[in-house]
Amino acid sequence: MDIEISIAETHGLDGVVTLAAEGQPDVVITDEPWHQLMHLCSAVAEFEHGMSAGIPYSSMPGGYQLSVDGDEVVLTGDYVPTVRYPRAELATAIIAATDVWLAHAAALPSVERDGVRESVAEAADAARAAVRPRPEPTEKTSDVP
Amino acid sequence: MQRQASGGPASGSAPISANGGGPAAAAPGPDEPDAQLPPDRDFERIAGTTSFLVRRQWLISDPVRRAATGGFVTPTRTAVLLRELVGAGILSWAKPDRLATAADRLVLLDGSKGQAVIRVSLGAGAYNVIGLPPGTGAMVARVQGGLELTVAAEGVEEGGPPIQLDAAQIDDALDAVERFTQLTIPSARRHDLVIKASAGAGTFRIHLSRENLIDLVGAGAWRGFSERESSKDGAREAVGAGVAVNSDLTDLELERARKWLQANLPSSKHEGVRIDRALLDVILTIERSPHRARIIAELAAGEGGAAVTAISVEAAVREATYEAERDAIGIESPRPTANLDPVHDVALPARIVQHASKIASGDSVPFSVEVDWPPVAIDRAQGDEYRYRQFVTNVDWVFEKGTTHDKAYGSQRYTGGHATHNHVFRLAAGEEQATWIVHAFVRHSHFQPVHETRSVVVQTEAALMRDLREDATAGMGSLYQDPDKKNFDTGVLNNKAGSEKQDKGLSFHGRLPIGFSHTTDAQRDQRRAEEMNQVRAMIEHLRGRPQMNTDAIEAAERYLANLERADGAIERDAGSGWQSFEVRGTLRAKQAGVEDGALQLHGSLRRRDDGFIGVQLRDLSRRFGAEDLRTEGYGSDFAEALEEAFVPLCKAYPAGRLFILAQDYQGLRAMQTTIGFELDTGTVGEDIKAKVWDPAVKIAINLAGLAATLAGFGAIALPALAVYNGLETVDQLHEEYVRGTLSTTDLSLGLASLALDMMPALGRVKSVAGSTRAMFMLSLADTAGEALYMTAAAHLAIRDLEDMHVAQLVDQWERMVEMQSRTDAADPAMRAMQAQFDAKAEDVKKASTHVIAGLVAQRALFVAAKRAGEVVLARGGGGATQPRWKELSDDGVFVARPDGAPYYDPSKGQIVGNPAKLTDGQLDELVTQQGTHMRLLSTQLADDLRLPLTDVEVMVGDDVVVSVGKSGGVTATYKPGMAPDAVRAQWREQHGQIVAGRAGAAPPQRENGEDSTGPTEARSARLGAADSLPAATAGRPSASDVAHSRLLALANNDSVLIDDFLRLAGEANGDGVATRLENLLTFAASRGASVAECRDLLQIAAGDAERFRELVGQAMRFGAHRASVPNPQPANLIDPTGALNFASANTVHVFQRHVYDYFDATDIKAANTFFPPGTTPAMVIADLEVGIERLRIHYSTTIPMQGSLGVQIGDRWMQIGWRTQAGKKLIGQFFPGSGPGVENISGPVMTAIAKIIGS
Repeated sequence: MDIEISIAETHGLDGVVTLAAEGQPDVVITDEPWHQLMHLCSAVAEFEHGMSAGIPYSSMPGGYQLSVDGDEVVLTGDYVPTVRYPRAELATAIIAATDVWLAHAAALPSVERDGVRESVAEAADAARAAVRPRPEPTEKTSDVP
Repeated sequence: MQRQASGGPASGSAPISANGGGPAAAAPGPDEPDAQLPPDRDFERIAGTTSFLVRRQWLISDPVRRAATGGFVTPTRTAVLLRELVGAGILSWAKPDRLATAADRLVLLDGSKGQAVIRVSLGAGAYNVIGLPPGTGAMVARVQGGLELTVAAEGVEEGGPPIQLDAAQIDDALDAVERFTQLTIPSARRHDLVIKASAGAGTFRIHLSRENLIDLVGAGAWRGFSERESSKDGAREAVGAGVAVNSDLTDLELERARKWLQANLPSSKHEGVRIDRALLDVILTIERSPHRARIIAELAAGEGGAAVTAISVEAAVREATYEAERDAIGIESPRPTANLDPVHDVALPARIVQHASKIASGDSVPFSVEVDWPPVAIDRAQGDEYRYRQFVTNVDWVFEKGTTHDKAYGSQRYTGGHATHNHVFRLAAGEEQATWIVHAFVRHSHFQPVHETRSVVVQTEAALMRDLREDATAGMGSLYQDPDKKNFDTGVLNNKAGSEKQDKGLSFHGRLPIGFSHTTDAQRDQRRAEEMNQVRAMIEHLRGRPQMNTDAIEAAERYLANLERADGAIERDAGSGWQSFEVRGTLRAKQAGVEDGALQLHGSLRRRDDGFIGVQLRDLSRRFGAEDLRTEGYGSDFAEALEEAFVPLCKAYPAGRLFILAQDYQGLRAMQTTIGFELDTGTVGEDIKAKVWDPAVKIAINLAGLAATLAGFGAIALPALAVYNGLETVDQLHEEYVRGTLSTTDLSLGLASLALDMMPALGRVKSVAGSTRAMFMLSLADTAGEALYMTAAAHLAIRDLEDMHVAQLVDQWERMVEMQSRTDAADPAMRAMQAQFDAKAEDVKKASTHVIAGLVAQRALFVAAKRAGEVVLARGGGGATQPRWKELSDDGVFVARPDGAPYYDPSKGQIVGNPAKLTDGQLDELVTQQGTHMRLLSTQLADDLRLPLTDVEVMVGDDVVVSVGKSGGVTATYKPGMAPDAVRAQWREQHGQIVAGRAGAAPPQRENGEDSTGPTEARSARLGAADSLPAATAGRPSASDVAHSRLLALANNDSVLIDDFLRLAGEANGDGVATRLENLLTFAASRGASVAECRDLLQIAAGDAERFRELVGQAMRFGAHRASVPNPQPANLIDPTGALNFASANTVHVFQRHVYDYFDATDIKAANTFFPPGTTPAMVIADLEVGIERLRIHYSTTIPMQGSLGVQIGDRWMQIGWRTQAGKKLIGQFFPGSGPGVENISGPVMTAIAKIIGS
């Protein structure tokens, strides 16, 4: 399943994050994209370890949950429909969207974006590390007594 | 013989042992581990232990794995395993930084043979890095054929080379070995040992090899122990079923604990028990407790699957003791439990706070339970409890008089973090002082119950003042008995209108002790110099770490600058011929938050050029506010001058009583006598309220005030006069609100009559000039200086009541009066009508209470000084953070000009001046001129429109708009900067159009005088039914006719549209629908929206009258035209500890998203939460300052960035968070989640409202 995450900044840092996937209703999150991406990346690290993650909204009460169910992640919460995404594809899409935002922040720097860019980048690195393929055993391991 | 033990196989590290069954391992390797670890898991904790089965590949694939002595380090993987233990509650005490260090340092000792799944255990040495569990003396584990120990050792500091243990430390370690192995080390073998250990933070770690232990306990004993223990690995840990024992208990203690558990909690063994020192201590506490039986019963009742630990037993002890004490003191109310299930195993860290520093008999003292929130680490589940569940507190109060044990009881239950409970203390006749014990039995939603007490000393007013005087004047000899009564000159207003106590006080005389010498200038200088030096030293200290303390240094420097300024002023006094004299003072404060006690006064006197004596008092106490006070007086002698300086100082203080005593002077020569004064600090402003409330005055005012406004209201005066007490009630409520003590109970008091009180006077409502808000002011008592203020929404809501309910009541009243003239009271029909009237009156009472309570709670209605109209409201409730001229400038009323004297320009309706040079007095005068000009325009407009003056109001606005009320009254807005004549022309034109439109929509009358029966009449009849409006009577149109004609006028006579709107508004199923629709359309027009633009909101109502009521209420909260968004900043951005400083707060965003008056309708989200209506920027900032403190409390343990922290502020649940900007922290998130007055408007509704209010 292809998952597409699009981002729009409409009021400074504020804006909309939309998750679209074939066969699933769109998830439209009217909230600060940097904040959502930072938390989504942190969630990747969580659900890659089989744990669920809660993501709060930045400018309104409530939030949503990403729960692992086998190879899928179920998104449920306030003001969003319930949808299921393949775990790996969702992680890839989140990291890709975050990279897009980071590139955008680098290309169009502002005081606000500069301030939060590092936090988003850190979260993205953690997400990347979480999904990085684990190294296969090698001969080198024989040095373990 | 010397035997050596070492700090472990990997010096400076602490092992996680990975045991694969090798010869050095204590536990055998798993024979079938692959079968035990699910294929999709890399590790799994072995239940009840600190051991894991771990997939070897996962472990060694740690990207930052590195080799270490005896094994390797896998920081990433170890961190995951430690986190798992924390999540299981096993390492719950461990601090995050210790865990991080441990992850980086723990060495994996691999004795495995390359199995795919290996067993990994947390060794005892790990505790040398993580820290020992609370209350634990030592942790011991079998490692590589020997023992590894981490032992508590006070004073040991972490790091550095191995330390050599002293004799006491060696004894501690060997004792731990004995307890763990149950083997004895003969004392002879304890001597001459040299043991080197790795130092931890308050611990040390050693490794005793197999050879060492054979030396100590003998080969046979050690072999026997090793065989017995061969199946165990890891440091001792006990979770799950069975009895586990921590190793620092003696046999005797262990036996005692076991027996106790067996006797009292027989099933505990099945549920699991952890016997350790802490549990034993709790058991001993239970045995000593007078509530032993009850505690054991509580424990037995609580047994149900959970393991018995010291913590769980302690919780039961606390619960049982609490209930026993509650019963013993005589609280009879049932144990409250709803929503009070704690999430923490600790008692609420609460204390009783008395909001008055000293108490006199008769004082009503507010008490509250304050919580010192501990910086606890919370797990995920607890975090959810914090985020999604409000704090609920139930307090049973008992006020027990010490001498008689008389008790008074009270109880309260509240959501949120704060509420007060008032109690009036009264001494018995003849008593001068007594002590009460205040008990608070507190149950809380998140913590365990607690019984707190504090003692309270109550004195007579006279005794209290006497003690305060004595404290303040120590060393100044004694006062002559019986002070003289003295009538002070407190100003014309006070003398004329103030109460007796405000100008009648006391004068004192006394004699100084022999040898008295007053404080010299040098001593005073030295005192101030010392204080300044202390601050300078503090600044120097802070500069030692400038990068941490930049902001703290700035704050300290500002404080020092203030001190230096005061010091300079006193020095200049001396240079100007002032000589200091001894003066002491004390304050008896009656306002919560202001401390009683001695003042820091600095007195000086001099002979003036005109021969009079001048006296100056500098008050450096800073008891309230940050500024020093300075007053001056002069007179023919010292006493007269001192009195003149004393009075303004006294009146500068908030409610209370002020006393001063000074060394007396004759001319400039010091006497051996003293002179003093004492006076109430109150002023006429405060007293006027009391005067208005005086029953005799009140009746006079009410009759006079109402009589002037009753024309046209007829019989409504009768029910209104019968219940007239509104002023007092609203004012009381507002004061309660300001003090934060407003409760639902208060709201129900006396509100029933309030709406009725106001209705007769609504015709006199004046809009508040100079305010950007649609605020109205109602002068209920012209002589009182007080006025009732209401928002436009409140005004309409009360009108609503009038239209819906009171009109019917009046109608019924008229019929009853009419019947009375024809029959007598015994007539059954008369009695029936009376009963109907009473029932209707009861309905009105209920409806009024509901509406007014809501308005007061939303701050839409309150009482304040009449003069505050232009100032207080324009400042947003008195908490202004910008100067008045700026507020006026925002409204267009003030224009800055760099030069020339300030003046009011009537040709443009504007004040012109240089803000930097403008004094408050000048501005007051110019604002008054502006107000007078607006009144003049009212007069001219009334003349233009041929209306009575009372029907016309002019207010400042950002456009020129005329609106015509239902009764024909006109409100016109004047835009500053425009020529008044041009504006008048526009007003006339607009008024003509409105009147013509209404006239065109009026129901036609037939020539024969009968009503038309066409569609309009049918509609009127339906309106009458929908709104229960009185039917037409001969000679005048019915209320429904009028209502319909007004609706048609608003919709340009589009009856189809009005029909449709009434249907959508729910006319078929609700009362008051037409009135509400009219209000909405009028509101829309005032915001420049067309009638059609209201359709979206009506479609959401979809015929549900109740929903429509709610939606109209929500829309009208956006009553203010959007003003420029202010950017005030909280005062506590700088953390005094330097731990969490903020550069700024994005308050503009907070206001634009969450405050009605500033809402940015282009930024609508799925949910849009708002602070309560009427919330001003100053109120938000006050809340934010509390939020920042909460953020700091949680900072160290939980929340690094925005998005996760919910905090309780007052009654509201708020979310707060920060982000970084330009390398500094910025508060980027602050909004209300829930609480009284907080509204969450959904995205679709908000979008529909935005169509009406514009963006």
